[in-house]
Amino acid sequence: VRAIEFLRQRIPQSVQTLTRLAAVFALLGLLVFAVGLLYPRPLAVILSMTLGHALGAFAVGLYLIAVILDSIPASPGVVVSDDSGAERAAERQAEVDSEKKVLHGK
Amino acid sequence: MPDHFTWLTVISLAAIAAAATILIVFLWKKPPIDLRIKLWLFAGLGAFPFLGATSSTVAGMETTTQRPFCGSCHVMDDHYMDSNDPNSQSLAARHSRNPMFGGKSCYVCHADYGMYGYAMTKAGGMRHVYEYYLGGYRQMNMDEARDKVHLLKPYDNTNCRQCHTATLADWKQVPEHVSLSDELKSNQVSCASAGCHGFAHPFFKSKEELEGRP
Repeated sequence: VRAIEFLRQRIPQSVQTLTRLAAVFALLGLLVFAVGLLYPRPLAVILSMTLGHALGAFAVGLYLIAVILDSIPASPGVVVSDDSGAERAAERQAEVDSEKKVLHGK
Repeated sequence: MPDHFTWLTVISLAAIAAAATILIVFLWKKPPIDLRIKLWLFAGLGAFPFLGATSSTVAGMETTTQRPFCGSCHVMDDHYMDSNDPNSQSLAARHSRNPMFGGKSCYVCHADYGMYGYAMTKAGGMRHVYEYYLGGYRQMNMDEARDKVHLLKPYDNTNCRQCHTATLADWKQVPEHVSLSDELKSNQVSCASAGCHGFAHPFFKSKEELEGRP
């Protein structure tokens, strides 16, 4: 739990950031796989079976961390720099403000 | 379609394309991460890449057994061209014309057999890659390669006997087979030697070796 809180505090918008990083690393891994398949030369095949797998495993690891961060609620009193909840709250606040403006305008 | 393409390659490329599409759309649109997006990401980061990785690994390992793969390093040019030559009478060329395994004759004849044979052969292949990129083979011309590139250990007759079992009556009727039985089993005499069935790659042998002199 401490590790999760640590990640939340250290990485801005941790769920979004980690998920996007996972997607980028997975794309790099897929690219290495594709090169090994399309141009089966010794180095390409070896890189596909080593670097490709390492990048893929790292991407899945990042995604799992993001899922865990997203599914475990933040501890009370902890300042969370994460996201989706904060974004939704900000959006809701903006809606309320605009409604107030409309009402005052009337 | 290239020779090395198999149905496994197609499955692998399809899985890679599907995963890449999901991930690129996710990165491009930057949607909020709700349950629907999580499920899409599970497919794009988990299921499709897993399918792509496993099938590409199997396809890659299969590719490493193909003759063109072995011939892709220039120091193997002579071997590769000879095995492709329909008029060559070398032992390697004749085996490469076998429709049952000719496409992977290098692997079939040089792979270690036994329980750990596959892994040991692949480990040996890693040594070849090391020698090519870091051991100086890459800088060699063919004349230098003929002098310096050799098998690490004498060719094992067991590899020949995977197919030529040496148990048929015809084989036992050959006087040399009977008289050299122990030497053949212990690899003191190679099936592929001058005076027996000839060298597999005679163009890589010195004049003395071709004449059977030590």
